Amino acid sequence: MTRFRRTTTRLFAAFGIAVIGVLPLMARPAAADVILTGAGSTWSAIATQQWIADVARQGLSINFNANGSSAGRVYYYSKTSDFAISEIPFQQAYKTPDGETVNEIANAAGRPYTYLPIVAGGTSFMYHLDVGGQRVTNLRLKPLTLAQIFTGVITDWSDARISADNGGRKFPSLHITPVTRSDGSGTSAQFSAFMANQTGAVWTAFCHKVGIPDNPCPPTSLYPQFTGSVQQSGSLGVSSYVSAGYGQGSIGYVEYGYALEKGFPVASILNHAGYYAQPTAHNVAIALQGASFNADNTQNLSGVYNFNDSRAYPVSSYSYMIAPITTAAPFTAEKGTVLSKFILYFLCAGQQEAERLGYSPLPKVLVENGFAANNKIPGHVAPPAINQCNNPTITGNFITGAAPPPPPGSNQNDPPAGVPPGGGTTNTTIGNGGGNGGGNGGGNGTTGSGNRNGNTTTTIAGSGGGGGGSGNGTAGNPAGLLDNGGGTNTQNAASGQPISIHRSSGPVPVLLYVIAVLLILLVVSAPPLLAMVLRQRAEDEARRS
Amino acid sequence: MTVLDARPIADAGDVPLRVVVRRNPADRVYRGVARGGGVATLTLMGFIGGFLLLRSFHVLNARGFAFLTEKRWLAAQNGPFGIAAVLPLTFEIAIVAIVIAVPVATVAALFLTEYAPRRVRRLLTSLVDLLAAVPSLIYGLWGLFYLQPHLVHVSKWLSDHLGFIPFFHVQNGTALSAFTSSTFIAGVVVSLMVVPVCTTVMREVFAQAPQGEKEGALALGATKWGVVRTVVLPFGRGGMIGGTMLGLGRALGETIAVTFIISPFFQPRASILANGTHSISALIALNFSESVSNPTARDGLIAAGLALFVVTLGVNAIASTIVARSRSGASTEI
Repeated sequence: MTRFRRTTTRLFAAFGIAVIGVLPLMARPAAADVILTGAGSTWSAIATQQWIADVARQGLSINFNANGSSAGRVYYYSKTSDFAISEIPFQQAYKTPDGETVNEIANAAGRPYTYLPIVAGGTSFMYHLDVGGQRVTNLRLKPLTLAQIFTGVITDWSDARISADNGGRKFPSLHITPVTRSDGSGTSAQFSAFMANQTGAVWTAFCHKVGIPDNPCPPTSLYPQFTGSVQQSGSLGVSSYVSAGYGQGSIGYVEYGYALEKGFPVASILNHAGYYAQPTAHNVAIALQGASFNADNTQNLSGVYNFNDSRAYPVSSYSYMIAPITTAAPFTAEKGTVLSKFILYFLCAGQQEAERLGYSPLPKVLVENGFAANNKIPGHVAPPAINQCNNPTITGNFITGAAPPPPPGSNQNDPPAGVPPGGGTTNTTIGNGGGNGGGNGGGNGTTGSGNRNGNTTTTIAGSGGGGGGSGNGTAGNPAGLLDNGGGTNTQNAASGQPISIHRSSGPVPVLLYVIAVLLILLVVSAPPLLAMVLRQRAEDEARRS
Repeated sequence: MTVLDARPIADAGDVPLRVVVRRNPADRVYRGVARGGGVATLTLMGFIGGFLLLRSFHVLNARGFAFLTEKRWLAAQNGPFGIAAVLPLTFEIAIVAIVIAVPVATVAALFLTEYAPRRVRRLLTSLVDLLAAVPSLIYGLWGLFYLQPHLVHVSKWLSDHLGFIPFFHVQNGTALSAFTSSTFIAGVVVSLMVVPVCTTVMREVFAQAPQGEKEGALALGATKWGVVRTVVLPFGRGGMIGGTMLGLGRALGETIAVTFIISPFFQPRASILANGTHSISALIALNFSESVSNPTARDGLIAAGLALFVVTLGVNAIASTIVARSRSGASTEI
């Protein structure tokens, strides 16, 4: 008993000494530095975390908690974090169904704030559609058709409205599975904001159908479930679903980087200039030049959705940083200096990384807006002259020079580039197809470079779009489809995007997961198993002796 | 020394002697700690239930029965919301999991207690326990990326050949995508997590089958299977039911693996193979981050959590009652 007591006392003493020794170590960093805390958007989190890591090398300490836009705004007005990042601004007063009034603007009144742009990007529409063993890679959609697909109005790939967008090409009859996000998401918010603005009637009718009473229906971060759709959690969940073997016939919205990673095509969306554009970083930055601001510096994206440039990708938007403009607790002027340095970094040099991270650099108009907002922050650092800002859209030629012109076949009056003849038709259809695509001959001549499959030219395929009218007889002619196989890749080459179509990408990640699980199992199970074997051996020996 | 009382005994009445126990300090501290621990567990449980009720009361009050009859969940969009679809679907997933897990767990427990050689038994027992230690996130990822692409073919086969049974009927079941993210697939993944829980409980109960009766059965010429059938299984019946219920409790609350696999759906239905299902815990996980700014939506989710808490508590209470009864060997007294 006494020995036990002595041991216990010693243990307690050792623990106490350890705690006393560790405490000052834990306390020191908090006292020394200014640590800025932020919370909010998961959509912009990849870029935000990268920039935070970049400025950490300059000695700026920022903690960012990617807990969702709504939580970010709540953290801001409940004084839990210094700044917030959100896709949507503070919400005006509204009544919940139980008669409670929620007024985020009033809640945040105790901490005056400004909005400034932080991350821009396009919402891309990744799809999985094989026709006669060939993957379709040149789908084109009007905003209205797109909205009708994602609201359950158009439910089949053979729908005439899809054919009309694709130069008359009729896809085989196959159920469209729209894949939306099951969790709260900025991607859902941005896409529904686009629909609410551009195709308001379709969106509001959809809201009423699923039970949302508002009129007009506002954008939502939680995409409503509807008959025929599938919901998955996370962008990775959506892109994995679309790219899986069972994803045939599905179309989902994700950030462009996820589609590139899976090697799957994304739909070209019709812009205001009458061209179908891809969601490249260039095309998004070009569209965002049309951004304008409301009186409270919130975004007005009508000008982006309707930007009149043949290259602009219409479903483009940006997320906000919500930054305090007074030193109301918990903010201070010292924190303001750190925040301001961070802002000036990500508005300028940080945007160099945007494209690599799957986003798009902020164009000049948004950077200038950000500079103006920066100047309202207490303790701010003066921004550089705008032409000194090392942002690829300002000092580089990201928008003017480097951005490729719209690829041929992207004008709405042209048939899409590289369309193989409608399934089941023979090669002779190609010749007949000229009727619709005749006006496009010159344009097609310029595209042939870089064709992956070694097909020499795309002119055949380009004019073949006209032949799409010849019905949806299913793959009756494998030879004909094989001949035109190169055509499906042409559009990639033409628009300069590295979408590589390797269809065997599925098993490799799966194998990795299996290996990872096995490794974890091994790590977890090896020590106790080893211990057991050793104990067994010891017992056996004891018995023997 | 006791001093004898001179008065007549009858006057004292039938008052029992008061026994005063003087405990030493160590004993008193030990009792205090033990009692405190027991009380703290109950208090904590009470506080959790109380918190859920307190936070969700205004929502439950405002919505009344509509909370139990409304199928959709559009709280964050200011639409109607209720648990009429989510709660039954939660049970559907859990029941699929139990239907798969219980036979596996029963056979595994029987093998471990009756058939396995001693060395193998210890190894396998700890392996089963280790299965319970694998985080559910791992099961979820594995289920989503490995199991689902294979299971959809099983689903399609079941639907094609046994589609006349309502459980296996799928409308428009031509494309494989109609079979993804279903109750069945979620249930299979959850069953993997339930098996170790059930096996452990059943193994303990089977191991307590009285040796004398087992030997008696053998002496009367019973085969090994005869012993299992006439002694072990009847004795362990309570344990089997208890293990099943404990597994059900686990299955009802499983969150992250279900969240990965399901595609939310708001209509209770018999078909377990069709795309779309839901569970309360997945509902909370998926909606919480975008519901925190809206008190009705946030507290609505807490109300759904309260429903799950009550249901799980009930299931576990029944389970532990049954397990406790079986420990005394009551179920053998036929």
